Amino acid sequence: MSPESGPSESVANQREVERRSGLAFDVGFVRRVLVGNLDARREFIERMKCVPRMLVVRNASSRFVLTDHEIEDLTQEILMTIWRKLDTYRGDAALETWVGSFCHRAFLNAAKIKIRNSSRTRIVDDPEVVSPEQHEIDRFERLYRALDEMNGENARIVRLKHFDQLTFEQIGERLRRATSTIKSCYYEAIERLRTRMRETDRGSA
Amino acid sequence: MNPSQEDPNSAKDSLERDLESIGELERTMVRVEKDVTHGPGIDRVESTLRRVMEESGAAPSIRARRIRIGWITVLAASFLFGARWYFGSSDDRVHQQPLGASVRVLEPKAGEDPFSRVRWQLDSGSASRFEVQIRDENDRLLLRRSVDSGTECVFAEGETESWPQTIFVVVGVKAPDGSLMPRSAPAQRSRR
Repeated sequence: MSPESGPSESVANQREVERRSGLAFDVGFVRRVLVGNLDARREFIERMKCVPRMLVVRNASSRFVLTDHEIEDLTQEILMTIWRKLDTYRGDAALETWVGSFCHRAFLNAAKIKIRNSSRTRIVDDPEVVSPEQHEIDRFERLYRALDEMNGENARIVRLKHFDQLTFEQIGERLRRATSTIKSCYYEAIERLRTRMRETDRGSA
Repeated sequence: MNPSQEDPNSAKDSLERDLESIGELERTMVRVEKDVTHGPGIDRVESTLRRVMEESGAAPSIRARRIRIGWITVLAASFLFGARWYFGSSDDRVHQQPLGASVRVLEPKAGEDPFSRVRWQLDSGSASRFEVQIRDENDRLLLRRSVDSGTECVFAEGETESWPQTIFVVVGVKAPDGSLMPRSAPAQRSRR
């Protein structure tokens, strides 16, 4: 920090230091969970209670598209996925934020299947009429899928930019690459995402 | 308006807006989840995670502890069976926990539509409640169906038409609390 930097910059720097130490803690914590440390595993179970809680929050914002029973099943499904992928946790975000991403996409997938199945059994006057929630769920689900299909590094940059709200400079610092490289990777990724979304728009039309 | 009809600049805005919205939804979930004190699924977290942790194998320290517990269990069981033999017993019912079961998806019969019906077999253990899952190549869940008796599941034509060319079928055994363990290996099926 330069001697001329103001108090707001020093607060921001302090927050960044705290955030990084929190992330480093979570990386170490996950490692302890994976090697079988009993205390860490016990704490992990407690922390993973965030999964059903997040699903409840997300479900409420989608007018309760899933029933309680479906939330229970989905919780189980997500926990198994998280456990299977836990060794891929790199500390880009806090553990709960990383888990939140799984919850969100699994919720979208389950909601999409539910809406599709229920519209098949319902008598609809105009099958072309799609509710705003259904349209949003479908679009977000396709966007997640497009991100999955993309090169790992570019998708990671998009996630850090939009989901974790990092600036290009912070992403560059995190990934140890020049800001200009990060920017060009980001715009390339956005262009690819746009193309992919147009293709899937045509496919679903 | 259909996004495919938008001009490139507004399409970019729409895409970035969607990414912002997803980010905002994820952050909201993380921010307010602690306000949820009870709800569906919370009670199941512990049992599910303990099972997956056990299934995935434990660290050496846990293994050593389990071996000690195993020996104690064997000694206690020998003592109890000895006592039962000595004093006699009227209850010889054997109850096998679904956790000890092993399930295998069977190949479709000749000439049968591979998407219309799934059959499976219990290779060991006993269980009556199952769950059939249909997944795509990216392990994405397409359909989940509970089967409370029997060892087959039939799908209607309308259900299977939206599935991709290649799917993976997984059959899981349901424990009394409704949790799903263990599972079969994924069986690949391709549309004819």
